[in-house]
Amino acid sequence: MLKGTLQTIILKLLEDNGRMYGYEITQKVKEVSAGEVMLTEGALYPALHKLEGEGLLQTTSEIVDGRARKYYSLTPQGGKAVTSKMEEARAFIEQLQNLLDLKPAIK
Amino acid sequence: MKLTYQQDAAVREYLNRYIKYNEVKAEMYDHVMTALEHTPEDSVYGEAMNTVMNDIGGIKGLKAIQRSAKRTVIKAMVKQYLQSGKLVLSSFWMLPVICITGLAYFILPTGQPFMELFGIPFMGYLTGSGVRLWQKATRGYTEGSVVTAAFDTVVPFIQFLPVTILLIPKMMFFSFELPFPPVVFVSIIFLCLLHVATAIKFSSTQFDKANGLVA
Repeated sequence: MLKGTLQTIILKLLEDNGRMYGYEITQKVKEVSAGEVMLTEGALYPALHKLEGEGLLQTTSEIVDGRARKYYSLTPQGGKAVTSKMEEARAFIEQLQNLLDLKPAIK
Repeated sequence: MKLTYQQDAAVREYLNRYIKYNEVKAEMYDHVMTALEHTPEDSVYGEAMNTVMNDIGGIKGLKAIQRSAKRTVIKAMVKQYLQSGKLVLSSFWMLPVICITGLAYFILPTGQPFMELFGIPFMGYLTGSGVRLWQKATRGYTEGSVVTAAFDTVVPFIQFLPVTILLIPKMMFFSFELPFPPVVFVSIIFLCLLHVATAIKFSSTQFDKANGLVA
C-alpha cells in the first residue's frame, strides 16, 4: 500500500459507513478488495489514533457483548478532509497512469 | 469460536502484561475477542490467537499501538492545557480559584513586584486549569473517549508543568527567594496532588466500571 493512502481509506470508509470499530475496518477493507489488500492492525490503530489526534476523527464507546467497543466517526473537520484527500488520491492516480502509460485492462 | 472462561482470562492476562493503559487495553481486548469469535468453531485456540497476534504485529505491534495512543493523548492534553490559558479569565469565578486568590492576597508579603505581578495570577491559572483538567479527565473516562481521558502519566506531567518550569529550577539553580512563602508553595503542590489523585482515582474507577474491568 502506498504511503498516505491508509488515512484516505479510513476517512473514506468512515464517510460511507458512518461509524466503525477497528476490527470492522480491517474486515471491510478485506471484503471490498476481495482479500487483495490486507490491512494489518499494527498499522491501522496508530493511523486511527493519529487521525483522532489531528481532530479528524472522534470516538464513542459502547458496551457490546459485555466489553467496551470503541467506534470511530468523522468530525466535521474530518468530513472536509475526505474531499481533499480523495482529490489528492485521484490526482496521484492520474499522474501515475500518465507516467507509466497504463491502459485500462480489458477483461 | 467461542472462548472458555480460561481462554478469556488468558487473553486478558496477555494484554495486561504488555499494555499499560486502560483505553488501549479495552480496545485491544475487544479487537482480539472479536477476531477470535470470527474464527471457525473448530479452530484451535492457540493457533487462532497466534494468527490474531501476528496481524497486530506481536508484542512490538501492541507497544506501537500503545505509543500512538499515548501520543494522541499527550497532544490533546497539551492542546487542551494551552487552550485553558485562554480560559483563565473565565476560570476566576470558580470557587477554588476565588479562595486561593483571596488567601494568597492575605498571605503573600507585599512589596515584591514578581509576586504581585505573577504570583496571584499564576496560582489562579494553576488552580483554574487544574479544575478544568479534572473535569475533562473525569468526563472523558466516564464516556470512554481516548482524547479527553487523561492517562495517569499525562495528567501529573501537565499539572506540574508550571511548577516544574517556574519554581523548581528557581529553587535549585538560583539563589533568589521563592516567589511565594514556603507555606503557599507547599499548598500549591498539595493542591496539584489533590487534583491529580482525585482525577486518577475517580476517573480510573469510572472507566473500569464502565468497561466491566472491575466488579
